[in-house]
Amino acid sequence: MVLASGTHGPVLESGWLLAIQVALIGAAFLLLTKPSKNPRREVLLLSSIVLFTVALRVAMQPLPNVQPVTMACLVVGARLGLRRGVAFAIMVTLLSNMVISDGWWTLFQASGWAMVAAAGAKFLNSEGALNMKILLYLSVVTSLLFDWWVSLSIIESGTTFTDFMFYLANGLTFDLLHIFGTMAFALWLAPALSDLISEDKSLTESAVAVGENDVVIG
Amino acid sequence: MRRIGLILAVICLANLASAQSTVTESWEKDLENGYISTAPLVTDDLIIVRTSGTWTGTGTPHVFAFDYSGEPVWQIENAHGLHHDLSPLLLVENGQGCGGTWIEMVIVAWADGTIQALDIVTGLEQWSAQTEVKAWGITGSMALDEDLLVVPTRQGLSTYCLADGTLQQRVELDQLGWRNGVTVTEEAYLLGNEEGVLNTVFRNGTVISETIGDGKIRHPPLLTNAGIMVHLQKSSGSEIFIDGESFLTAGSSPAMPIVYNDQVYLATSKEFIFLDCTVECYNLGNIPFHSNGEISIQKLADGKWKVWAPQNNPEGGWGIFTTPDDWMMLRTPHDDYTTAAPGFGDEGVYALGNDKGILMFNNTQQNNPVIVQIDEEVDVDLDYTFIITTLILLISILVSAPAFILHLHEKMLKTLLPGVVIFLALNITMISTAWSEYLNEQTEPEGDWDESWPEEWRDTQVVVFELPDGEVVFGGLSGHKTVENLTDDAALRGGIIIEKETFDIGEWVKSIDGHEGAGWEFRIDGERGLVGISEAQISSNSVIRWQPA
Repeated sequence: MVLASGTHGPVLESGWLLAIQVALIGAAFLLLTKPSKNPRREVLLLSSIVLFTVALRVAMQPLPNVQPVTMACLVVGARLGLRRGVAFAIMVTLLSNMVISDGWWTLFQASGWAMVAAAGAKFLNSEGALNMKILLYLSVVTSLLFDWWVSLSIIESGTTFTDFMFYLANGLTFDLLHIFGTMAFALWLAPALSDLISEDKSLTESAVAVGENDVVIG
Repeated sequence: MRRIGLILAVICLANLASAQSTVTESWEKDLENGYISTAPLVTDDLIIVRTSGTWTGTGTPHVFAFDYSGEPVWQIENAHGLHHDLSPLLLVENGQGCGGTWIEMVIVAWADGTIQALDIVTGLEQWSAQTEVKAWGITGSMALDEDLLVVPTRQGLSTYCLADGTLQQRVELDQLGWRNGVTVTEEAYLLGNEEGVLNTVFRNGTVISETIGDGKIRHPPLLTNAGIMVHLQKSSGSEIFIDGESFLTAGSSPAMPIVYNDQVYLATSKEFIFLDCTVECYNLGNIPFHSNGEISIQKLADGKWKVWAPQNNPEGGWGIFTTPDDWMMLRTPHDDYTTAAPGFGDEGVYALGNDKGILMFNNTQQNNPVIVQIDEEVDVDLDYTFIITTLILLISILVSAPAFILHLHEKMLKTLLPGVVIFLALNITMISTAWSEYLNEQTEPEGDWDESWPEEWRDTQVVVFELPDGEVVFGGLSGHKTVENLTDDAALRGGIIIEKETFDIGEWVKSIDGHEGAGWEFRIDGERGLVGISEAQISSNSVIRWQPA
């Protein structure tokens, strides 16, 4: 059996957690194995943002359900696209959960933030400055949907629909905290993060263009 | 504000009292084997106190005698003790009559049905008797009828000669009693029971039973000028009856009322009630207060008196009442749930005991013994986190206001949201608890009562541990507000070890009695718990069921 019941919902039997982690890492690897003009610089950029976001998430742990990762996924999805956005979400979840706590919910968190990154890629992916209005709307919607998605991890055989609805209703105050936290991060950090990525991206592209254009095949 | 004001008033009075009085002896003792649920007896040279319960796992209920300096004089234990040794100790002056002569004694009635008459000086048994046990034996207060000891037993009433314990009268009753104290009148003995019936037992053995109402009578009926008063505990709230007629409704879990100089004092989980029954009874007023145990009178030198009631919640302490407009709290360093009234001696000496099993004695000599003692480090319950975060929120609102006026919405949110997040995050426990309580109020719980449980447990708090080797149930508990408090109490009583772990959303139980399994979950009245144990709120008659997840 994959699942047993636990204090916070189902608990993975030994070995399955490792299997899920391997699958998630594999997925992130596959998403990142896209040909790149300057892979070293891109890896450096993505790694530094991942580490920064992980550190921020861990640092924010004392504040319940204040999740800087949601904002970061939206911005990274918007600026680096769907594949890298999803890979970013998976890596941040895996790394930060190694510090915070790992379990069945890691799967839901990773997939939840991957969907947030996808939303960022779909609705925010435009040239120039971030559209703050759309970012704020997305912060509200994705924070709420992310919480509800992760709440699915508590469902087990004895959980009724009413139980689950009551559980969601009980968590609304925490959802509110997630929404306001993501909005605050969006207003204070998202423009800087977006500019950093855009700047690095343009540097990468221009550097590569010069190099490749100079090569004369003949 | 009111609480702060009261505490300040108490501090002022404490200073005043300490300036006028001389404290010659003051000590405290941790009796370490159960609750002190009934008032200590204070004589001219001894403090005698009983402990109830065996829930430390190894302890047994005891009776201890100390002298005024705190030195142990004697002690006895009941090796076969059951829980709930709540019957107050009874002091008997020396005398003669039925059966011969007797020395000064203390009478101890046990929950295993035993009655012991002890020499007050040595603790040696003078005589003993056995009454019936039906789950429990004696839990109510006994009384003296000249040369007879009147004992309210589990399902009846017995009288014994004080000199030698010879049974004089035995009356079987139809109903079971719990804290069914007896009152002696000129013609008969009065006692209630768990079925709301008031029994009048005449000395010739005749019994008149009157059903007062659907509830429980858990105190000695009161004799007032307006008639016999009974405070009936009902499934929700309580009702005060005089001569069988409803007089007043009140809060839940009534304390044991007391009458003194035609004034009647009652209490519940909700209020302290003052009645004047000089001719007819009328309500002088109520004070919000939580008391479910004994109430006692402190007689002052000038003929005045004060009424003391233990506060039965985690704050503990004792309320000291004079009128509905004049009362104060006595605080000690060991405050906890308390149901035992203070024991008073002469010249201002008094002894206090509480659910922590701590006995505190004060030998204060002063002309007008206004006894007020307060720990200087009393917790004034100021929530600094709430105050500071509210200030931060207000500042962020003020700072963002100009941006709002100028329709700079992004700037406004930028200034406002950090304040909102800080406020919400640091007060999330309080906010989510209030929200959870509101949600719980909107749903009707199924209930989780098991008909095989003792009827005495109805309307009390019950905890069920579904351990691998069988179900362990503790009932008859009261005064707890959260699943954590109630679980801890039950575990303590049963010697069950609870291992917890802490998460952002509160504490969760990791293992019970060494059984970890895949975790533990709780149900409140059949409904699954959805928040941490320290946040999950319970009512006065909740059933908490711990199950392996």
